[in-house]
Amino acid sequence: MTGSSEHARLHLPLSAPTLLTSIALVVTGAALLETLLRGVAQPGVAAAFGVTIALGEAIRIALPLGRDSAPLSSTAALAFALSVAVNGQRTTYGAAEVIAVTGLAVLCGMAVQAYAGRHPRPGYLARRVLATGFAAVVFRDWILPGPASGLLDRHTMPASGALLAAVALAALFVDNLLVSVLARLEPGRAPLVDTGPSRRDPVGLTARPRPTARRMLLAFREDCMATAWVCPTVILFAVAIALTARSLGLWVLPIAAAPILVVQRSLRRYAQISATYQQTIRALSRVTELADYTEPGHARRVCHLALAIGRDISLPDTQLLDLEYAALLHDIGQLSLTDPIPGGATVLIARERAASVASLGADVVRQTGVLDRVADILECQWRPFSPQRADEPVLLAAAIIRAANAYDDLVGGALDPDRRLAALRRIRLGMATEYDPRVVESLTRIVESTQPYPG
Amino acid sequence: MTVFEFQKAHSGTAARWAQRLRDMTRGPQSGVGGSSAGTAAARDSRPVQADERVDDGPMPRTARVYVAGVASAAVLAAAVILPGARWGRVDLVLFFVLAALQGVILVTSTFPKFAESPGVPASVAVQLAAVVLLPQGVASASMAVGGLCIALRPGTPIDRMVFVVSGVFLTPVAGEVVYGALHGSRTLMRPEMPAALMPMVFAALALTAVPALLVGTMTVVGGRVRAKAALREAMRRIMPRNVAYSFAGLLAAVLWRHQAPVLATLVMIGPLLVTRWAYEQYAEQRAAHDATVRALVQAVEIKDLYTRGHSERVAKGSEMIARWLGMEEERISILRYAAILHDVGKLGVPTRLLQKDGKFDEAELETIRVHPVRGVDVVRDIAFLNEAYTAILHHHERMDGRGYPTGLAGERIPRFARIIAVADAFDSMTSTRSYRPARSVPDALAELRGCAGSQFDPVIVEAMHQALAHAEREGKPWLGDGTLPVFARSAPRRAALADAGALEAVRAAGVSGVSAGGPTDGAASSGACPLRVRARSGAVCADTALPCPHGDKCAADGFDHDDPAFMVPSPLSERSLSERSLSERERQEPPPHAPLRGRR
Repeated sequence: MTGSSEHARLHLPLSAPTLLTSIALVVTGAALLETLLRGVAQPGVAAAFGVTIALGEAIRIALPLGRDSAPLSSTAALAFALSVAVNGQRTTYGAAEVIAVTGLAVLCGMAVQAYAGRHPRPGYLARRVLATGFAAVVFRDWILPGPASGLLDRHTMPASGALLAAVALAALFVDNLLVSVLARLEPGRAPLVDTGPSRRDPVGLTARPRPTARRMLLAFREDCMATAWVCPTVILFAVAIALTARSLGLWVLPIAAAPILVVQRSLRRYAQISATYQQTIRALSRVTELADYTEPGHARRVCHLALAIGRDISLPDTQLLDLEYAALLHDIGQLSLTDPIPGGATVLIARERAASVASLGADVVRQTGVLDRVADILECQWRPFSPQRADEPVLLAAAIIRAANAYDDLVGGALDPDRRLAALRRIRLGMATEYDPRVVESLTRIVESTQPYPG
Repeated sequence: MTVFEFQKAHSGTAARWAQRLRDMTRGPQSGVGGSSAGTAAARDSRPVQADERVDDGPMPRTARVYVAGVASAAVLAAAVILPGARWGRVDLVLFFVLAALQGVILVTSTFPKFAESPGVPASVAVQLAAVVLLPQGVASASMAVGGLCIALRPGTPIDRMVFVVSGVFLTPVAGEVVYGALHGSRTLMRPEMPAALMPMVFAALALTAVPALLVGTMTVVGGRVRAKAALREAMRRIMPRNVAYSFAGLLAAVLWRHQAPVLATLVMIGPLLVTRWAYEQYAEQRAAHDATVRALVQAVEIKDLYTRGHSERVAKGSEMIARWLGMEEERISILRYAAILHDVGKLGVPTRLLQKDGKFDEAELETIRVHPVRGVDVVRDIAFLNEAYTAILHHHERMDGRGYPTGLAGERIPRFARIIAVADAFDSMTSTRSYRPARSVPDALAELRGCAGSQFDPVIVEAMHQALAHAEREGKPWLGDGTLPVFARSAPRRAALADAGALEAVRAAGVSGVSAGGPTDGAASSGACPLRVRARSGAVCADTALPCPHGDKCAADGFDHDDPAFMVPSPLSERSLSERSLSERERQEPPPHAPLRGRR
């Protein structure tokens, strides 16, 4: 969804991802400078790891729920930071070399991906560089010369293995932390801090802002769950590479890369089918307009608006997905009508009729057997606001779709500001009786701060 | 063992085996792999495909002979290798850990939940670790002990069990022989180490080649897979993946020698867990996707009163043809989506037109004739369907170039489109319409053959014929109407309109004034159209509105869309009748990926 990115709601001179990316670039640059001034300690090792990282980055995938994942690259970067000996020789490179090589390799891989037209989420570079940098600094500059040097020299196995695993785990936690921070700071997402001036509250019924810390914690947990299956393998293989590099030398890289690539292939298949699913629903949402039941682009505009509202009031990712599907399919029930409703505008028809259309649509969606929650949302989309049950996820999503649909029925794809204001005024009249006040507030904010989505 | 390997690749053939196996293992413990309600629903909503039906017959005799051969080979190998094994220096913990891993992988691979996920690569990794770490003979014994765990699964038939255990024993034997012959390292420590990688890689190759060979032969002996297909599958997909995965076992072996047994075990298991999880998610999403597409297409069919379940059956027919033509699995799945979605564009034909009395004017005809273009408009944004766009766009083309929307001819019509055209016509003929009963399969096939060359691609018609005959032999005849769920809500409406439909059909057959003219040259064949249901003088083909090549006896106008809206003369007829040459028309054809715009 492209429309909402124009407005940055945080009062910072730079958006947060840009800020973090700049930090990452500065850190990489500084590390590179230091490495060049001191001379590269082990060029062969650095080159082998660098190539592996770049390769892993070049075949990066986007996991469902929008998280970029490059298991091979993360594994190689962590292993590079954690290796104590390669081919029988102690490694002498420092954290700066690790950061410089990782940063450069990630940039190369990203360039390949960008050439193929795939762009990561903003701030991706920062994730990679800062997480690896964390592990490198902690391990190479602090643990290795200090507390654990004797332990690692004698390579007493369980202890040093556990130590390496702990550092790797910590690094991935840093990564997850960055993901959740970035996700919350993305434009269109709920802001971390309340941005007073744009929030107006004429009726006194606006959303209660959740405590920032709690929201962060929730996001963090969600992100950890999303990667719960991939992270352990990354840690395992990073530690395995670091330990076996002593006897296997750099051969360990292709050897360890092979199974990781198999894993990644299966993840890619999953990501692809997931993306296809979304594309299919988006595509099939157009059948109503094709059949002249709704205005062209209506379903997509409603979906765009509903998602913006959903993000604005901090729905979790899973609910956002249901909301997206429900918004796309919200008019599917109209297919069962012999005569189209004029303009497809359900906002203008009697409530009983709207209810029956909604239930027809819910039946269609329920037929799939897998979109039950979406069907529930569709079933409720005609219901007026009831304060007692407003927090139920289904009803909240239905309320969002109801408001977004009403707005789009009234405005359509029109760019005329007067028409938009008139539509808002009409919807605000129904606030608290017809529409959920939180949703209307959010809708108002979004409409005031964005250009209409062309559909 | 590797029995699960082939089932995806040859789901029409080896799937019978796999399905049997899955059903056997489903038993009382299937709850172990229990799935969420959503997935179960998705699975239930999938229609039963002719090829997927369970076959509970016993293993064919040839296969049993083959299993006996494999078992005796295993016994022979055991007699040669086991006496020489040096049991004195065996690390018992290692022995049992590896045996247990092998057993767990083997047993869990037969859970229904994991049936689609690769158990074999992980098992190869464990075997490589065993071959490298344990002395000759001991490694294969350890694997065989793990293999015996298959007996823990209730309901596994004895012949299956024998095959699995023999395979699990023979595979590491091959690995041991290779590793021993190349003087592979046992210490895996520094002075020997990087150089000792080569024997390990060769052992890994042996460990992947032997099961591929055993199982490949099994499917070929079972009589369902052609040897060439099995070999291609093994070389292209199975071997590279298994070799790649087996390197995890290599890493694990080195780690074990570095006194990190826990890490070594986890390294062998970790990727397996992620892969299984990913496959599970994949299967779930895939089922959800299929179910969603089906349900939404059914919703679309609400409008089209005569074609309930039609898309499904066309998909099934297309799949059968594609399988017979030996198409790859990936392409078949795309073809299936294309076939399911091929008539989505009909939605753009207003109900008003579908139910209209009387003649159609030019604009209305145009609206009807662009429905494939509309269909493409809908699916254009589904990225993976690239090849399907052209199939949907061109499924009303004819081999002689008189179809629509672009008038492509012969081989220039995409193959997918030619397949869908045949399956589409076949289903139209074999399903019941309100104004006529369904025709029998032989009748329909004869009709298809009669029009092969002019309307249909003869190769594909022949493939359809063969595929149906094959299915018949397998005891899975084409069931046609009534096998698929009908969208319940619209049933009353459908009944109410049935009579009107019958009237319109008759009327439509008479709407032939536009295209007067005699039978066209060339296409007039023997006139062997067996069915004369709607034959009347001046009948025209639905697609081209041209007089039927078989004169007034042809039922070909009933082929594609028996609903009245398509029984119309089309403006294309004038174009075809004019002097324009075929090539001229083709030059004006828009590129397939930039289809004509619809109304908007």
